[in-house]
Amino acid sequence: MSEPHEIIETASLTEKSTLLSEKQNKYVFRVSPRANKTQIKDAVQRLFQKKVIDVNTCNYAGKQKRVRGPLGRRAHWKKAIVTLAEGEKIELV
Amino acid sequence: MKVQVEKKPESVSTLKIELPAEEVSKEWDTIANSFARFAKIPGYRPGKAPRAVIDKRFRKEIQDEVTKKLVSKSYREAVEQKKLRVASLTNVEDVEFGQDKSMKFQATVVTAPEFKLPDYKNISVQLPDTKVTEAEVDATVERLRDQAADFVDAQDRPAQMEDFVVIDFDGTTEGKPISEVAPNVSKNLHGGKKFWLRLAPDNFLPKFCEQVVGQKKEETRTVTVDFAADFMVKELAGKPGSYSVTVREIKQKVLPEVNDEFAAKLMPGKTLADLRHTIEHDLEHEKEHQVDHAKEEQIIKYLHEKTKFDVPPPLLRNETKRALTELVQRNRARGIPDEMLKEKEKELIETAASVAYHRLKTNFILERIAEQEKVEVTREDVDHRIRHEAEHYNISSDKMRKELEEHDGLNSLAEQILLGKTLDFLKANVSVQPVSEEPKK
Repeated sequence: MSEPHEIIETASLTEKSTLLSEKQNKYVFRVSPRANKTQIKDAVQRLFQKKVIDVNTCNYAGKQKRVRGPLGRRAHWKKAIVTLAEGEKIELV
Repeated sequence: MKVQVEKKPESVSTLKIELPAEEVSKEWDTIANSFARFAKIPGYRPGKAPRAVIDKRFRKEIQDEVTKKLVSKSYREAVEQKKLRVASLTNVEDVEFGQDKSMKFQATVVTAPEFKLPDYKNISVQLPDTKVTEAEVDATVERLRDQAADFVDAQDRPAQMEDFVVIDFDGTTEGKPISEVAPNVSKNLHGGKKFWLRLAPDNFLPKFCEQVVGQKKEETRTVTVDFAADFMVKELAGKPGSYSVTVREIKQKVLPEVNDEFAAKLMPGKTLADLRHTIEHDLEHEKEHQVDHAKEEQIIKYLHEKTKFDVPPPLLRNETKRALTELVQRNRARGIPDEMLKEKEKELIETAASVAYHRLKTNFILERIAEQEKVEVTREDVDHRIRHEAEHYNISSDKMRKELEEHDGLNSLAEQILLGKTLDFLKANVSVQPVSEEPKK
């Protein structure tokens, strides 16, 4: 698991993430739960060619859902908030 | 804005219009903002999504809106810039948005033909007199008298010329009933019951009435007729026919006397003098109307003769189609069956084509005159016309306006008013040359 696309699943486009990117130059991604901060930093730097100075992560447990009978569970996931170096920018839209 | 005009045959031109990025992006911004206020995008509350997201997500919709807005506007500007006389816009195509939001499109238009206007002021027209003569009033009174006539049974005397007889009759030719020989002709040739016939030379079949003269009530006679060789019914042409005729009633036409009583019958509470006055007034009105019409006709004829140009074929085709539908509709309303219309298809198309040509040419000429004379349609004109039309259809004027707007009818209405006004202008500027009225028959 070293390719960037294996680590970064998608960018999160929400009001919160938009605000973060506008005000604090932080970008929010949904990443593979198995990736660690170093790998995420690496992946973002390789994918976007931007300098990353910090990565914060948090794990989310998938919600329990019942679809006609048996109890199921959505996948667990990890969110990564990546801070870029000053002056760097990513166009996500 | 860059505009390129490319002329093609048949009065068709293509306009290549290019809009600079600033102009487009200004429009784009306003439209995108209006989208942003209501757009529901996952992750954002309505109205909170950033512009970039909106632009990306609604790219197509925004483009469509921008196209709709800008194409018509810039097209109009382009036409003005190049001073084209556009008769109609046929097509807008190849709308393209560049990377920098500049916009390109191509419009195909039919241009109005170029021609020189003749001198349209003081067109000499010949108008009939509007004066109503006593004799004309008399004739009308006579006609009214005729309409109000009574039919009185003639007391026990044989039928005379100018009598009305009610007859039962049966027709045969060469021993066979006419109804068998020619089943498809008018029933009156077969025979009939209680048939009203005015006895006059040459009325009905040749020599028929002459032979009825002298016949008494309830008397039966055999009347022979020779159908002429060129008689319209082929089965009977050139053959002898015989009718057994029984007179049931003999009636005499009695005309009412012209006096106050007669007048009061037609117009309650009025005297004969009043009646004559009204008739005179009506006739005068009618004549004025005729004069107006004659004026219009002569003006248009003059204009047609003095101008020469070709009507653009694409327009002519459209107009012909429209005229044809009108013709067909009118004929259908008159109760002519579709098969008959189909038979006369070629004729109808030809008529429609000439009507269309005439109409278009008139419109072009009048439009040009309107332009030169600065005849303009004001808001009041349109309002007035809408009110008038609404009254005609018996609906409120607001509803009429709405309906017109829905069907894009306001423009054509305005055009109609413009043409009407131009015509009025021409009518006001004619030199009248009174002529001796045509001898009346």
